[in-house]
Amino acid sequence: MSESPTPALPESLRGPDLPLHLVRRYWVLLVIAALALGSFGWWFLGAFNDQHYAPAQPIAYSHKQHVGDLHIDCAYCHFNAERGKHAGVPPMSVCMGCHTQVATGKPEIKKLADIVEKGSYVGDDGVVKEGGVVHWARVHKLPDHVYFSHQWHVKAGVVCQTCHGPIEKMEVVRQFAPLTMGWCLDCHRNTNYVGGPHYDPKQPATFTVGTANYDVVRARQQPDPVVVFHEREVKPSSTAKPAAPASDEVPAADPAQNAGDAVFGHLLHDFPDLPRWRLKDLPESHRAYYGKLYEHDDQGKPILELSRTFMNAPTQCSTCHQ
Amino acid sequence: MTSMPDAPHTTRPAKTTWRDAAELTASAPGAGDEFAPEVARALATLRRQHGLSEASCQSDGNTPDELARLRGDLQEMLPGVKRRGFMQLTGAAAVFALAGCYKQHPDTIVPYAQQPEGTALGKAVYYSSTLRDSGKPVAVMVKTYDGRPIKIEGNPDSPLGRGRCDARTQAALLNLYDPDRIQDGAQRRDGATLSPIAWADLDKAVGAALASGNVGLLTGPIDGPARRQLINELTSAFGARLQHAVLDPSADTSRLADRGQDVVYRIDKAALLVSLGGDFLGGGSTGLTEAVEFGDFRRLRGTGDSADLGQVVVFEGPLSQLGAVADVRVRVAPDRLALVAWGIAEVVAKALGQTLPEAARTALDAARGAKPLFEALGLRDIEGVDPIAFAAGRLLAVKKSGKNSLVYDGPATNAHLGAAVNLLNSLLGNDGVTVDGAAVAATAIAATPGAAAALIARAASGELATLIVVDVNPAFLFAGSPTAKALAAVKTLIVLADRVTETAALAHYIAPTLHGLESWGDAEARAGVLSLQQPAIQPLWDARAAEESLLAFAVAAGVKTASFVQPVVATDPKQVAVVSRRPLWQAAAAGVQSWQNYVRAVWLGSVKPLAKVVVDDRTFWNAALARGVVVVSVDAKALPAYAPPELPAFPLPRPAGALQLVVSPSRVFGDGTWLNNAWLQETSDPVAKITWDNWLALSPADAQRLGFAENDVAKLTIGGIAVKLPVHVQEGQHPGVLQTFSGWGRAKDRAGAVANLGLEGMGYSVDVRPLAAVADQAPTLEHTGETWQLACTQGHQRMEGRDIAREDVLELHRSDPGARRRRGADELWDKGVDGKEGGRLSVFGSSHEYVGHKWGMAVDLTTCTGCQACVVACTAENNVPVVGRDEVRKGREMHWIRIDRYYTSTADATGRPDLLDVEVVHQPVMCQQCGQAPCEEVCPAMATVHNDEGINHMVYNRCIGTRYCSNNCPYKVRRFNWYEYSKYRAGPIGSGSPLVRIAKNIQTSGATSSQAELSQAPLQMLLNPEVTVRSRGVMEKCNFCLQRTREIRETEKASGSRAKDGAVTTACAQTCPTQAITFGDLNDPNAQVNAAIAQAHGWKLLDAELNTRPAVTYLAKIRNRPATAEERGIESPAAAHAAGGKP
Repeated sequence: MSESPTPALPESLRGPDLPLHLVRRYWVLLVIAALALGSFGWWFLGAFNDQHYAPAQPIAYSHKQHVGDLHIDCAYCHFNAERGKHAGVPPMSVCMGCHTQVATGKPEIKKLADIVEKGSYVGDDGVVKEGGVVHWARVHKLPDHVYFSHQWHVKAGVVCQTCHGPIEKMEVVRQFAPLTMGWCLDCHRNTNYVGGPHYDPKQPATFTVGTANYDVVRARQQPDPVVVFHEREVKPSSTAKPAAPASDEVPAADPAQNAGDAVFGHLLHDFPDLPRWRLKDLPESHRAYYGKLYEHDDQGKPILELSRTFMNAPTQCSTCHQ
Repeated sequence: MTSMPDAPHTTRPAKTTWRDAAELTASAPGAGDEFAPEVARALATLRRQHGLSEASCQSDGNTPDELARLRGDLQEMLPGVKRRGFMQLTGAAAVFALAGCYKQHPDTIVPYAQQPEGTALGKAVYYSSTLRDSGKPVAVMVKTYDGRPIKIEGNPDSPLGRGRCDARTQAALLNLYDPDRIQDGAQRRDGATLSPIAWADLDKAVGAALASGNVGLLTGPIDGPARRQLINELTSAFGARLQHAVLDPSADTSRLADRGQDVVYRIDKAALLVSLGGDFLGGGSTGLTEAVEFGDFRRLRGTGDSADLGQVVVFEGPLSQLGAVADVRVRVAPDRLALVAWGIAEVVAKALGQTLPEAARTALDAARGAKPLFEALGLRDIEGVDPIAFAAGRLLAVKKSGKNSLVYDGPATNAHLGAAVNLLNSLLGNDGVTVDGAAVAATAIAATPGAAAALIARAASGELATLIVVDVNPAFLFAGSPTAKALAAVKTLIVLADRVTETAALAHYIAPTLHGLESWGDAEARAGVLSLQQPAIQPLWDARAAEESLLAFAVAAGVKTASFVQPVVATDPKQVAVVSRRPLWQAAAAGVQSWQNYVRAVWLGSVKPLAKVVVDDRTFWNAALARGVVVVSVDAKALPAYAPPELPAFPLPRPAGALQLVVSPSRVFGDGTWLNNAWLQETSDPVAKITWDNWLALSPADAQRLGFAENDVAKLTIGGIAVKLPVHVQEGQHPGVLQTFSGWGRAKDRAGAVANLGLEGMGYSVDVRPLAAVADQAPTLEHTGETWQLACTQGHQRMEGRDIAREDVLELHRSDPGARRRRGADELWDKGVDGKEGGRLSVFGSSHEYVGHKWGMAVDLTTCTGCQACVVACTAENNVPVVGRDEVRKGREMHWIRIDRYYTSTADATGRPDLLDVEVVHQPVMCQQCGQAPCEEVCPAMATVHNDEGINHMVYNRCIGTRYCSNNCPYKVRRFNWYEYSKYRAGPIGSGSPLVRIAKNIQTSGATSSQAELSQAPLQMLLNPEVTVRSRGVMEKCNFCLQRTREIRETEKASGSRAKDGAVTTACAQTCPTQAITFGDLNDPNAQVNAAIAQAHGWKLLDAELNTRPAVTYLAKIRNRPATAEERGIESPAAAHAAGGKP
């Protein structure tokens, strides 16, 4: 080292001499220590959450195929997200609503149908899983003391991918976000979402969270900020054509007379909330098939053994007809 | 680890490396057992320094014993690890534990197979149903979450309960999940062993027995149209071969014996209640309905001169729950009660121009001699007035004013007393109004006294070949009597019970029954008030409804013509019990109509026409199930005029001060059916505040005279029966009176593991019912030299001269309702130090402004009866754990709401309070949700903070357990988790090892998923998923049922409008039978709570002293009695000495 051209500081202002000789001697150790400390810190920051947790599932369900390729709406299966705190996993009736017809030959679907049929299965841990349902491995889990409601986030127009990531690309679901309190606050602070962007605590009327135009958001007329769906490659339909039973009992189709009601009229009586479009827009082939679900033979047994209906989910034509 | 090549200091200790804990343990230096002596030395030093006794140190809880236990806990976790090894291990564990955090512990999501229409995950569903408390039906709403009942509330559609619920019915939920129920189906006894038997085989065996000889049927009260019809059909099917008797421990035997008819007491129609030794609130013969009506009777109505409330005058020996809320309470020896009653009757009869029977006049003359009757009987005067004349005068005044009164003596059989009470009610025109014969629900047969014992005797003598006992427990209820022994001699004894009770242990066959929340049924609580019972969960264990068993037995016995006989239909074999996974018995497969269809058929056949509605069957049935209660008009049976019977000669009263025993039903357990309920075990007695043990209540005068102190164990001998019981010195108890409580002392394993904790050696759950039969003999008391610390929740909560629980007298309240408040320190507060409100010293600065909701509560001490329903409701709602006897002894009970009981009395010249003529105030205390909370200021972790609705809440994951908040809380409402209480069923100490599994038959390997889940977390099904289960080292407390106020926000968001008053309420306010607690939004000007707190006699606890600004307002207890001279004249409360707990 050469002499410094600048004048030396007065003695009183000079700091203590750095033990540079020690640094020179042990610089390897110091670098290693710094690296160790840094990597520990890096690990520590992420140590208390389950980000990237991606457990294996008993059925190799692919979100990529259902959401990414088939463009099935998230809420088709996770309809509870609109209704309450938990998004939940769909009831088996939702799975079987399609998979009594679709891809019935695939091994995973056979497994699924087997579980429904037998009423239980033995899991990898040797425990008998009951109920005729799949016991899914839980991915996202908030601590007990956290209050979180899907309902309001969905209604406010927060798309699923904001928190759950590019789910349409995931073969196996993994936890995308850390789901820590700091992560929640990042969003809530930036968007002032606790009461909405114009919320003034002194004026309750300015509380606007939950008043977003939900219908507009759901209709996807606004560009989705996170997900860009790919145009689906249309393949020639090879399977997936329900073998419709003979439709002798079904009244002749007369779209002008809203013939769907003739088959489903009693349903409208029992379930007044059932959307009418679903009934009247059904083509005859569908009525012939699904109508059987609600018909019974002489002994009072349903003609079709498919007792698990599609009633729970907000069924849309686009589910099958993209 | 990196090595240091040129490290100069070579004395570094050799590194220890280890692979796992076991290896470390093996290599750890043998650190001896050095922990306990150190602590003991330190404690001894402390004791010397502070001059404390051993006992006073122990009461703090930090005893060597305690520390040893804590260390034991650690060693349980890490067997064999000594302290030093433990420290080393902790260091390593800290690192590895962090690494362990990375992977979430595996959890599963189990979806619905088919989600019911209209439901959403995470939203509770309510079902109406009916539960029975000692035979008395209560219409309830069952809150279920994911198909699991988690809370019981009253059914608001019931005109009787009006949405409220009592402590026992709240606790019925715990019985549902009780692992001590029979889990593996029907049982057959072979010698001493029980072995499972298939239901079909059981039915065949019982059917053969029924077909071969006479049958006895012993049941509880049979009300409800379907249950009545079932019995009627059985009676007609078997004809004279079937003999039926009812065993109803809560039946009013006094009325049945004297009037020949049961009656209903309508206290809500009375203006005055005169009780002669009866306990209207805790005596066992009255239930929820009466408690609800008592609230109406006691509520302060009107203001100013028109302010009024029902008056309670009580003559009694021990201090009963009714005596504790009485306006005028006069002590009298129990054997003189009949004379007091006839003395009152004499005055009343004279005024009405009637005469008393000869026997009564003779007895009264003999008793009074030359003195006035009250003096001769040893009664105190009321402000210089003869109490007998006072009571009679009040009765006559009420009659004169055109109102009704009620004279009540409880269900005990005392011919002389009962006759006087019936005569008084008759003379005063109360028959048909407050003594209502028409409201008695129709039953299949009446609960005649002695019928049950006679039936058992006939069965034992061989007259009846078979005895079927349904859901009653005569071997316990008749314990010690020949009837209990006779049960063993019955040829074929078939018991329908949910567990192996004392009776079931004698049975040849046991048919396990379902809990009320698992089965169908119906009930009639009062004439015309019909309620349906529907299951809210599939049976947990392999069992079937008692009624279904009876149907199956009848079909198996060859009954062909009854409506319930049906062709055999193949059924779905997949129906299995939830937890035991055993296939459920299905009625259709046995050719029996299912009990569900039976109930439905009866309701459509006979209730629908009565309900006079024009709808189709399906609509009616669905509506009836949804509402749960259908009120129909029935033919009113008038109460026949009372004719006093020929009275036998009056027994001579014992000499003044002679000991006499009173055995009362437990005020918490009733008849003892639910002794295995840990929630009830930990519920303190409304008067004595004792949990977990039975006790002998002794008058302070006797305690001093005989040399007994609190917690001494006394040996009580009477009629040749001796029991040992710990002594509780009960203020207000008449000298000479000994009181103890029945309902305790179930035999080992006959009620279950929790009831076992009171067995000899572990506690004092002593059955004193045999003593009741010989209670007219003279008892003797002996010292045993032993002591037993009763787990009392009060005794450490005294007023200490402060103005805590306030009271006023009605006449003074009328003239100046705010006087009592001003007399307290509130005057200071109202004025403020510098003349304006809020001008007082405070460390808090400016207060918060609440723009949305501001939750608040009003607690009316006048209507509070100390019944503890709120405590159990809170336990169920907020996942409050049971901590066990030892923890309660240390003052560590976890209840988020407690009911403080204070005694007030005048002091003598030396300043010593009168311990005999005491008045009682019950004061429910929950977190006061201070606007300026002392706890918040001292928390170093910001773990307790205010939300924007004025609720002070705990952030459990921030809490580091310093307990500063608890120390700084002036109300002592904060509770600390000293152990992982949620792991234990009945507390960490005393209940043995933690209950790792709730189910006996659950094996971990090869288990099903629901079994595996349950085995990992005992009683988890019970928990309210909305409320965090707190872990060890965390502070907790009442948060005004935060989950409920949070839920209402959701509703508001969805509807866009503010919730109406009453849409949300806390568990305690919801359940309070007398509506003493009102909850609501203080920012809503129309809220009921605002009307309540606006009353002039409201005040906030310790607010004047501490400026805490609580959100809870108390309304002073108004006593409807003549004001004393002191109360009229004085302006300071100094003369009224206030003391709590032990003197």
